[in-house]
Amino acid sequence: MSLQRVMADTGPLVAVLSRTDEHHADCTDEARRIKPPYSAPKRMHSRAWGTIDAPQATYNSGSVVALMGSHDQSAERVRSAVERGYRRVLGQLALRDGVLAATVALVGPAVLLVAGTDYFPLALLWLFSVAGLAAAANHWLRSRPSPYLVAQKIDRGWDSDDQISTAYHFLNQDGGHEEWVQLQRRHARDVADSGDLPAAFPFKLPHIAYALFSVTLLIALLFLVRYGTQTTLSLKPPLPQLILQALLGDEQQEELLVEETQPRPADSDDAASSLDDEEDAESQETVEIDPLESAPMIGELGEEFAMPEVEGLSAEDEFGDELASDEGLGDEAGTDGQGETEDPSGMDDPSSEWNKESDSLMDKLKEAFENMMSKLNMEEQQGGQPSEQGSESQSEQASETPGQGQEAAGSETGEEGSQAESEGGQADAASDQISMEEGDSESSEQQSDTSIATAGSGEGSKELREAEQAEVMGELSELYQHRAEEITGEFMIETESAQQTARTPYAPRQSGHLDRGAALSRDEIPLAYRAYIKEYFKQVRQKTGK
Amino acid sequence: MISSEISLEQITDQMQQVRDEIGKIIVGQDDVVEGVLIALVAGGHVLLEGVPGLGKTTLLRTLGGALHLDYSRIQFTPDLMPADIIGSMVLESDSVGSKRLRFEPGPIFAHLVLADEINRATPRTQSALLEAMQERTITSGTTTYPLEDPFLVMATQNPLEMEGTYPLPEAQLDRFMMKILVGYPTKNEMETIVERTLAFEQPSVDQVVNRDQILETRRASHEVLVAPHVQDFAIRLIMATQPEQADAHELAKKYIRYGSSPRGAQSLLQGGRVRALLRGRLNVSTSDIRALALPALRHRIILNFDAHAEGKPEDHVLSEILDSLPGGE
Repeated sequence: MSLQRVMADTGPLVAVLSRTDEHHADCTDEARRIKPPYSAPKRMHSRAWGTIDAPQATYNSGSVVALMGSHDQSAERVRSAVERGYRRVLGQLALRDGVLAATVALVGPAVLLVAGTDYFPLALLWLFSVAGLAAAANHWLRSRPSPYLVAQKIDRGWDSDDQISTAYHFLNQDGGHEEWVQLQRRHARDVADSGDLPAAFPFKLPHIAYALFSVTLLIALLFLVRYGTQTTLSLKPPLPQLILQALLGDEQQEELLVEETQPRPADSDDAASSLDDEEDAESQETVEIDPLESAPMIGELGEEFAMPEVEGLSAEDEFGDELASDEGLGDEAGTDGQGETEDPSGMDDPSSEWNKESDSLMDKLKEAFENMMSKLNMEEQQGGQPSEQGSESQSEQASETPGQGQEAAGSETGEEGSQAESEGGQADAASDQISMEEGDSESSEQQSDTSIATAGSGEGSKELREAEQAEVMGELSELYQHRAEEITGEFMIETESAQQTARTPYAPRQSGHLDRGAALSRDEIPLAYRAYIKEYFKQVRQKTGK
Repeated sequence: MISSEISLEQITDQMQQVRDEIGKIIVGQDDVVEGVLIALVAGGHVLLEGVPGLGKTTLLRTLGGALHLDYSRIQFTPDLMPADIIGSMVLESDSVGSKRLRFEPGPIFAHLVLADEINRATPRTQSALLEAMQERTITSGTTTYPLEDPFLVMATQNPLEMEGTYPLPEAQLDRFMMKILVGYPTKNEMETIVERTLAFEQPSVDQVVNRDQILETRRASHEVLVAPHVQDFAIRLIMATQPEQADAHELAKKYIRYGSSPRGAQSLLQGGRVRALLRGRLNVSTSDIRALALPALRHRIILNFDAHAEGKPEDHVLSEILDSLPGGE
């Protein structure tokens, strides 16, 4: 049971409440000695307020009334200011933690857009939402300040010298002289009345909002990338797979184009065996392209692919040199006599390099392929089976005629090249450009002859389109077998790594040392530093002694 | 009304009157004047350090004139003896011819004691002040004499001319509530000083505050409220200067050999109370602690050799620690 200070007489109460009462000063002084709040019976209280005609009181639920003095009004206003500030701080914290929860929750859709539903089930989105809420709740509980701390922040914001926080602390805690507490509370009330809470707690965009914006942008970007690479709104495949399909799909198409434009060796052999007795002169005329005639045009094409690293070389020379130095092509062409038609992989590498280096070549190849297909269609329209035979004979002619040329030239080149290798006694002559140059002079002369023979001396009487067709048909590969007779420019020689020893002449050197005399002069040491200097030399001597 | 004896307005008015009287003689140096008043009301002692000619002695003499208190001045010299300060037993004879020893109080028996150039006296003489400054008593022979409140020792020392001086021992330095550095006046202040020097009539200082008023102000200052976070700020500041503490500041570990003693915290809080009262506040703020940190702590920390070698004075180290201390911005 708590004790209350109860006034038993109405007279002193009236004197305290009424400034005009003659006993006001005395009763006020006496009242100051009693720690408020004062309580009085309700009837006495009503009589007192009725006497002074100022009905100001706060009624309790019981039969006694606590008279709330001015200090209590000050307390209420200080408490109100702190509570308003507290609500404002909580609002800002709620905004920050809400943004945090949204950020964590949005990570789920971002992962979904990357992984797709194949690897990230939709149900996991709930997990991210729950994790966001948990993180926000944890952060909320840990960072929620106490009202006293908020009062300190109000003081800092208002620059009020801790008056609000001190008053708020002594509202709830006993300590200090009651009169001083009340007076200090009045000062704090004045500060609270004149203060502006938004000035103490200005709105600040939480830092986590930048993370939210970043995640939102990431999601938008992933969405655009995902649905830019596919036409459907399916979330099933993962994004990396879509990107790989989009990137590799074009290359595969290009590879298919190249493969389709080149007759397969097996097909050409079959066609050659099946169509030995059924050679159609018209089909030969339509598809057969003289490599001698197409060579100048091919040379024109070759100029587009001139190698910039080697200066002073013509396009043909560069091609010939590069292709001759290419490992395997020359050998295969020389030994098999089938050239690149024998080995499709040998054709894929340079073509892919060209495709990467120049899109125009692909365009030309495509155009040539389209022309060829259009011609084939025309033949199909002219007759069913014969047209097929014609196409087969065409492919055969395409493979046979240049093949023969290749055999004629490539066999010679290859054989004599091999002779040159054997005569020169260099094992890597087929792959080493330098060794090829240093080989037998006969081989170089014969190679130059073959280059003349294959490149042709006739001027270009055909159209560029025919050259492209020839290129598509494999005529361009003729260049693989040839190399320049003379090459000028800069070369880079690559040798295999081997143990090497660099020797540097060693010359012994001598050095001399002369002792110099030194004298230490006494200096004036300030009195304040003498202890440190003494300590320093003491430590130095100790170290020297050790 | 704070109490029946004195009000907050009266306190601030009285202190302002003292300032005005000092301002008749001393131009500027507001921080120095306020520091001395804080030490007076709080019951501490103050050590003024500055080059000659900045008005240290004049300030303290003017303060003694503005207060209705006993004032004495001791010029410390190397041959000054402790008996010259605390007094000595003298042999006197009465009318009948009998002789007896009587204690003749020295200049230390005053309310305001100006110890001018205190570092010129020998440590033996300086130690004569230890008991007076801390216990406020003087022991001569077997008899202990109390000193009357308020008792304020205002010492001055010159940072130059270190030859023939005896730096104050740490135990004595710790007994000073504040060590105030007296700086050079500004240009406007210098002009005012010159004008007053050239004036025909020199202003006189009136006694505006008596002993009882000062003691009442001191009692009132003990009632100034100190919130827990302000008290915690002062304690954390003291702990941050102690290099062996876990909460010590990095600079304290690097440059301070010995940190502040608990007297530093007492000086901060008690001085903060008086400072708040002089500003019409009834609560101590962290701004009071910050304002008093340098004068209350600069003589309580002892720097190591690295700080001297790298030219880091006490104020620099303390300011860095103060700025890095969270709370109380």
